Amino acid sequence: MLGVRIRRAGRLACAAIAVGLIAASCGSDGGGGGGAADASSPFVLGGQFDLSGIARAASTPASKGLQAAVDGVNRRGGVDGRKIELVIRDDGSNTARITSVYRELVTSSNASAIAGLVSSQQTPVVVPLAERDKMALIDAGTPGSFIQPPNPSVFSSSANQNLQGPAQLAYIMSLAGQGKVPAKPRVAAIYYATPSSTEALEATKAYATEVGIDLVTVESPPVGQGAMGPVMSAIRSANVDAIVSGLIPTDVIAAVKVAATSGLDMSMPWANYSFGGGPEVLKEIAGLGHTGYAVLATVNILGDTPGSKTFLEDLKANGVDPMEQGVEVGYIQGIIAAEVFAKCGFPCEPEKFRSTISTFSSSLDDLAFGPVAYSDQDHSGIGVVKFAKWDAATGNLTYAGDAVKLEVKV
Amino acid sequence: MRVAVDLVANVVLLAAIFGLVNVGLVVLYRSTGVLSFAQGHLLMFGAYIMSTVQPSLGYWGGLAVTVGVIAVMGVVIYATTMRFMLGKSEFEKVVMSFLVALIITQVIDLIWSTQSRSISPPTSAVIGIGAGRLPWSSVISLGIAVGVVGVLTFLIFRTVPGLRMRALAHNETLAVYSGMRVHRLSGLAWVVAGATAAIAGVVFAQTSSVTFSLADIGLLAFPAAVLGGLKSIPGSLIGSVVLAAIFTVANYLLGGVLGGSVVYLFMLAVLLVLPFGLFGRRTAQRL
Repeated sequence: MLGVRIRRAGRLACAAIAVGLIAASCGSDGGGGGGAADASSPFVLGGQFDLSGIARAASTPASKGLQAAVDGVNRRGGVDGRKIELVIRDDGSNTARITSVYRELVTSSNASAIAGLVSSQQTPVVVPLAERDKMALIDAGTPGSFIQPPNPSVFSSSANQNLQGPAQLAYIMSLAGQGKVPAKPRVAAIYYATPSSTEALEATKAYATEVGIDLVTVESPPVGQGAMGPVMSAIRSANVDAIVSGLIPTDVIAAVKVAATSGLDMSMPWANYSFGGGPEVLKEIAGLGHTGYAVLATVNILGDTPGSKTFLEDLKANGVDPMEQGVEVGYIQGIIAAEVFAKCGFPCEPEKFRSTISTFSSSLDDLAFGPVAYSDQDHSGIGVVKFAKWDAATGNLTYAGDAVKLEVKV
Repeated sequence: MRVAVDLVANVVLLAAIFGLVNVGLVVLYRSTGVLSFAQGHLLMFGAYIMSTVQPSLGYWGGLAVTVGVIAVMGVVIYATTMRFMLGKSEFEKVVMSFLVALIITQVIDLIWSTQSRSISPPTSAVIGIGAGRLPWSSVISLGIAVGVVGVLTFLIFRTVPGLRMRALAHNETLAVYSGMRVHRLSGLAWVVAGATAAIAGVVFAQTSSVTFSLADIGLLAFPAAVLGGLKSIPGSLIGSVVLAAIFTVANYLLGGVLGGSVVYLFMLAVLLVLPFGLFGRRTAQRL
């Protein structure tokens, strides 16, 4: 009897595994390969995302943003009358799959360039392949070391991580003029002990020394553990005037909750890096009573410029919530790619795309706060940022203070 | 003084979270022999359900519904997957639990997408101790953890179903031939595992936010279960308190990464001296 049950069990277990594999594959979108180059042939853009691995929470909204941008461009007639075909693939931030997805996009789909790449684990794996293929990567998760000095294949579509710390400190210093912090403030920098975060911290320390900020560094537990009590205790002990950080939203929310219950100053200025929260997270933090939290923003999503208005329209057309964190990350990649296609002309082979984007400069119809530019010396792309806050009184997103210029010292 | 109170508050909260995560894991292991890697994902599912029902039902009503839903889900998981692993090796059962975890993640993605959600604690009141403040919600969480451990210890060690569950874990085949209703007993264990995971998910998520990273707490809490002894229910809570204290103080003094390493070094040292954990028992093997 038991033997019969066990044989049945084996069959059913196999069926369950099949169901699981089908469910897992739901994460990846379909997409067509490149066709023959006739008059109706589209430009092909690859989208390589982690839709099922550790970076899925950040990558999935970005993939929706990229899709919305491409659909929007196609809806408005495409690029010089040609549609853009977007081929999105999921690599789960798994090294073997990162390589195979890249190869598929390059060889089977004939992509002119690859966008996405939100996870910092993807870039180091893909870059050597892209360099060999002379392929351009429009990359959102680029560690600063790939931009300074610039790697010929890596074009960052988010703010250079090594420049975000100095920008955060510049924002804090701008608050000194408003009397919200002392002229020579004592600032805590909360960071993860990851290679890219440590690298960014060094740049932050150098800037702090340059402008006379007393910087106290506080190491956070690894990403997403939510155990922020000791971190906030260390900040209390340090008696700081402001905080800068490179934390993901979950950890920021955990830290703010600790601050709220332990009586820390809930109006203390706190600037976080660009992945530290979209409008929805800012709203939640404001709802917890923290009035000083701001996050570095690379794209204007208020709808008060032509590019920003189109951004909102495109997201709406695709049923994507603009409040969702990270949709703008993919959207800006799609718009950059479309403008490069227009300059490059059809068929825009990978090498030509790469040489075209290497001299690219555009404000993207003022979707960005300044020019998005690439040159021989600098592949940062985003040159100007602002700091987004949630105004609890009006229930709206606002940009606090002046725009901050990100400067690469060559 | 103020920092000391803050650290104690963190220990109380972490101990409650670790304890609630581990007690379900230990009950399942104690009664079915399954070391479930889906426990963290059940916890995550519970948090998502609570974030959906809390606005209309409030904290306690939402918690009751969440516990009910995840307990039923425990039975469904058993009936559709783990039931068919009867007689299989522990390794095969662990692999199946990984598969269950994968499916749970996909279901959450389909229902709630990847946007973060939130859960409010039952109260924002605090207990003033000198210049420091201890949140009532942390004290309540620890109280729930102690209560759950007490009830489950009674269930497993002082009732007939508990005795049968232990017998089942000891030898599945013999339990079948003895005429025990093994599926009913295993289903009950999955109900308990689901219910405790639901409570743990709510308690953990109310301190941070409801995201996909919630499931990782299962791995973070696991050393506490090993420390307490994988087969000891009270040991899982005591191990959680010890680990939470070491984790908090080490993180405060040494920073996040070194602090985490201290936890694992401590666990290693304890296991070298006491291979079955602080409260585990040496098992005799008949040759």
